[in-house]
Amino acid sequence: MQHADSLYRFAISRVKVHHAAEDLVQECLSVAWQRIDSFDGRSSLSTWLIGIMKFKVIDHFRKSKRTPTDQSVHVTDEDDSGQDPMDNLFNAKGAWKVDPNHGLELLANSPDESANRNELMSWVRACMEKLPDRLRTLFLLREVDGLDVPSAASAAGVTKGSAAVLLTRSRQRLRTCLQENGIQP
Amino acid sequence: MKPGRLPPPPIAYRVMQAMMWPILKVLGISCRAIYELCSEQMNRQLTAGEAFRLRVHLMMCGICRHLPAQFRGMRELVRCAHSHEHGETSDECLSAEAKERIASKLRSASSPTS
Repeated sequence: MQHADSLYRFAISRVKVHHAAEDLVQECLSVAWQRIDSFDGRSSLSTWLIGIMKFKVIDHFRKSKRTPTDQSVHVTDEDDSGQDPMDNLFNAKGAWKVDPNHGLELLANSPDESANRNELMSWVRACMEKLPDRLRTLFLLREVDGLDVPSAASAAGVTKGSAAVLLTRSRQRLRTCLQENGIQP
Repeated sequence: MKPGRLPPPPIAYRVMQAMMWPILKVLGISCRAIYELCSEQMNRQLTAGEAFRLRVHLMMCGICRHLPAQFRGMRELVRCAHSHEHGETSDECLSAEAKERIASKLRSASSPTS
């Protein structure tokens, strides 16, 4: 059980619900127990277990999200003000209203250096937490777990057509949040 | 800071836009269209036409030039922030009761074969 806490922290960071995370740990350890023969030691045991947990989390989302039916519902249901969030960034001519590079200089120039800063990692996680559940789930499945867009959309319970719009919206919200907090060299 | 409170783009950009925006919009290479293409590029491989539009715009628009690198950098950052190692900053743990329950289920699942 020495890896259980680590698995639980991974699960709770994704599903946010305590009992669901506990169930996932149980399922993950159960699968690992059955398939321990396939563990070849090329990676550490914890990495192998987290790999299993990633699939369990994706399965969890696939089972728990409702089936997408109406694309328009899914595109608009994350918008809190009724206004297209992109209108905050661009004017009617399609030109920037704000400086898109403000606060993001380090991100474009040296992402590796950025990734080594713990304080920045905390900001990134905090900004991710601000995303609505559906956007965060879709974004994490695509950007972190590396699922292709149709698979991520299916697991997150959105239509393939609306997934691209929602991903753009997630990136925009995250960018804005990072800009507000300023990634400075 | 709200987006509205972020600084406006540099004056040179605004001058360029004032002169060029009708052409950019007709050609489908406004900054907004390019921003959406940069995001789309993170989802799939762009078509040859889309890639060409992107290249043309980035050649002449200094303010958008860093967008592809920013999107890639942001992906790296999010991956890193949610990686196993960095995810260990939380002190949340399974309760002893949950651990015992899981251990007991694993024992009972394995008992017929042992």
